[in-house]
Amino acid sequence: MSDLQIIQTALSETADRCRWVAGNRQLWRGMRAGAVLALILLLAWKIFPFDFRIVVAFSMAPIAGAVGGFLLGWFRKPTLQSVARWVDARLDTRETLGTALEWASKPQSDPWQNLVLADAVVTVKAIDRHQLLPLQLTREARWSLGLLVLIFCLAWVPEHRSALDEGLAREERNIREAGTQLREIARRSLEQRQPISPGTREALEGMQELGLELERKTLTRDEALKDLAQNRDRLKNQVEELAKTPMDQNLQRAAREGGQAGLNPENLRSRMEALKKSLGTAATPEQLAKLEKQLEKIRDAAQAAQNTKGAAAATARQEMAGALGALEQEARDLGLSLPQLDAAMAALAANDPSRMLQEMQKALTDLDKLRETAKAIEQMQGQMEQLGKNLAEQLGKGQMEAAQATLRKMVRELKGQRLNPEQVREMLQELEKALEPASKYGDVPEDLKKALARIKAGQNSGAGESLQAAADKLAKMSEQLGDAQQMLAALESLNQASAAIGSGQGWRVAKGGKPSTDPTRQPGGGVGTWAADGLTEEAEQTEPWDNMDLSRPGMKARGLSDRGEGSTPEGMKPDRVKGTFSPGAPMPGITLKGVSIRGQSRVALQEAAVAAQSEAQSAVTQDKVPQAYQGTVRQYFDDIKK
Amino acid sequence: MDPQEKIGRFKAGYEALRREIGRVIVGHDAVVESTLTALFAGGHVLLEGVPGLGKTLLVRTLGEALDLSFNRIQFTPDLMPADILGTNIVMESAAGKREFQFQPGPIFAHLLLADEINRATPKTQSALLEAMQEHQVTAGGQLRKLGEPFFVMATQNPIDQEGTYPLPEAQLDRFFFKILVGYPSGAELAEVLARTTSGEVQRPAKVMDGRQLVDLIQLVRGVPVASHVQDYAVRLVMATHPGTATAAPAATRFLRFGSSPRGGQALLLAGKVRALVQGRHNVGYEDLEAAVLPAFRHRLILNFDAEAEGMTTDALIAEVLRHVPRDAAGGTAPGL
Repeated sequence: MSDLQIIQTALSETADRCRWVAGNRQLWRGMRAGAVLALILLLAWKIFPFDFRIVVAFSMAPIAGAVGGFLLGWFRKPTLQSVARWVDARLDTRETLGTALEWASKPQSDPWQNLVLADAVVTVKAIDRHQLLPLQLTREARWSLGLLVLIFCLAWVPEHRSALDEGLAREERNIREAGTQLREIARRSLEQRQPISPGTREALEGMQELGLELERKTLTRDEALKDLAQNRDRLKNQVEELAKTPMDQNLQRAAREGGQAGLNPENLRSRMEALKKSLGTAATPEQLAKLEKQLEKIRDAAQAAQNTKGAAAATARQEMAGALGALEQEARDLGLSLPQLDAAMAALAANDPSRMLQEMQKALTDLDKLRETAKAIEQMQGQMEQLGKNLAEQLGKGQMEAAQATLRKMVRELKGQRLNPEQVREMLQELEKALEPASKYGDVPEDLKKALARIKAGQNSGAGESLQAAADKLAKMSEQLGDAQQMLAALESLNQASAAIGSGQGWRVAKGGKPSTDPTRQPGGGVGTWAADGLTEEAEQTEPWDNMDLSRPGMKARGLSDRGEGSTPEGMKPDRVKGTFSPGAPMPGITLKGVSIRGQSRVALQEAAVAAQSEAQSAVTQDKVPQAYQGTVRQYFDDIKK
Repeated sequence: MDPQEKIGRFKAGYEALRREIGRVIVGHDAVVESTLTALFAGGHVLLEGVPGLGKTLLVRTLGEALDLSFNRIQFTPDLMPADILGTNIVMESAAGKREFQFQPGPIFAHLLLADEINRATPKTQSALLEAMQEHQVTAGGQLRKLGEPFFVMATQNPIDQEGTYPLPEAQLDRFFFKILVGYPSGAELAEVLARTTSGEVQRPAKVMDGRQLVDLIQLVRGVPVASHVQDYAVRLVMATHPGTATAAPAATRFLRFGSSPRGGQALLLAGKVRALVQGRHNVGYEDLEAAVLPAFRHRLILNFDAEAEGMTTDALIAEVLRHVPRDAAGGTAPGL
């Protein structure tokens, strides 16, 4: 190896070492810079509220800085000449290496070349790279680690937030939550049923987009309410469009209530059959409840008997054995098979009270399930009873699915077999009776009339076609009703979102739930047998409910049933009112105090109207407007907008 | 001849000269080393010091140690250029015919001692300009070459201002080094007294002739200088140029004129001599720094502010050295 090669090899190895040392140093420098940045942001966030995701993102800055710094230091490869000069300076070799490298590039004839190269070889042999360039924790490293510890400690310091900041944060959370809910509702609605009308689909997709916007963008309450109001208007328009279809008001109302328009006797029957099969007995819910209560009494007695000893305990066991036997016999009479009761009796005989209690608990659970199933069957029976017996009744009650099924059955009868005169007469009677209630269904009576005429003329196949046309029209209306139901549900969700954002109390409260500081908390977090406040789970209510546990056929359920817009109580109606409103009208005149402003407005009328509507909506939802006036206020601002 | 052998001869010659001078001159090691550095670099020397410090003796001893012709001129106010250069005089030839014949002046020697050079008038001082730079003189309209090597060793007294004429800048710039001769230490003074008050007289032996000296001067010029070391010399010179972007702040504040390129030449040549003397084969930053004071101190012209604030050229040069980093790339490890 020549002198020059020896020098170059040594310097090259030193250059590599330089890269590692530089990488190490830049790593800590990068980490320090990142830590300073993260610390500043964390401090700022502790004092001024802003999006916490920024803080989370910048908490990665020390790591990113360290990686970036290391790469920056490691990738920069120094030249041999620069390394030579640095080594010369560090080892005080009087520029021997630098001169040798430079002179090595000169022609061989230079007599000084060998001399300086020989001097340089002696110098490079004395280089100890590990001593010259130690890999150690630098001052930057200590700073970086100190800053990271400071950040960690600071993370536990509670942030300073003014009441205004907290209000804004809560408002933002409410808006995001409302957005999430809206998006989910729209998504679920679209998943469950694809709307027939493109307008409905667009409106629901628009609601989904609005939810996404509320969820992702940072909007003020006014902006969110304005967007919601615009969306609600669009939905209202769509609903109004749907309302122009030839349907009776009762039908639309049925659609709003999500009532019995979708009931199909065949479906109901098949579901009932399946449930009866799974129940395996003809016991009524009341009988099952009685059994359950008896079993509970025996269980309570067994629990009490656990603490007794001696003769009293033996007597109690004897009584329990008797009661269990009687209960088992009663269950068997009802056609029920409860093997847990046998097991409980065996445990009692073996003097194993804990196993007996377990078996009894299992039997109770089974009985509870059976009772629920029996109740469901009973409800279905009630629904079956409510279903119309013939086409006229079905049309009259707005049971379109059932009416379609009846019509299709008639079509099959007309096409499939020869009907005897009695059957034809009955069909004619049924169709004639149905003409009057069918008048609510647009062109359906025409088809029925055609069918009647054709049956009378003996054209059964033509009559079948007319009835098929009537069934198809009913199916189309049914779909439109489905669209309307979806739209109304969406509209309700939008109102709920407006209420949630406007009142500032969140989606749950606006929905009727109890306020809770932490919506993610689950039941069971309380102390002892008490759950924490606001942790009552309430299933989403989608239809009118009745908690009286009484069967009331023919009566509308209470609860969320539609009670109209409400009317102003007599005592609250104004009798001396200034302005253009006549006495008795629900809206009093408003006298504005202040200076009237004249001139050109810089805000478009439509925007002003939307903003006013948002404010009004906010006021209404926050109960700043008396309940009696709320409907009128809504109507007033809707009219302004129109 | 092999450079290694030449270097050996250089070191031997330098050591011999040093030793012979040391037999006569007590102390003044730095002065002697600077003088020898200038000698081997082929430059002239201006020695400045109060009377009686051995300036003249040093030059005379050097002349005796070198097997070279030596002349001494005592500069006085009435000294004329012709007294230095020589003149044409009417001579009678052997045939009895009268004709002009050039009578060489004392400048026609290898080693010239210009004693108390600042006592002569500027006109007379300027007679040395051509000789010092180009090693030739023009007398009687005729160009006459001086013998090689040719060195001017001048002395001047800084305290006598009456009847003296400060050397013009052009004249000063032609001196390779300006060496300040200071007082001897107590031990050195005792030795001087002992030597000069006894009957023993020390005479230096001749150790080198003119040809050998010229060879060694040529050898010195071949010593390698790396480009970054040469760049340091350039940056040092440029840092003395007041008002420029590269100037040191002190230079801009206190200097009227900075160093000429001759200052840079002096730095490099002196560095080369120093490297060889120390047994190295290349010039380092430290070699340049060791030469910067004698090479720059007579080339920097202070302004009124410097005079008012008592700033000296030596202090200013120290500021310049502090301002200019050795390596323009900085002192950290590459990549750090």
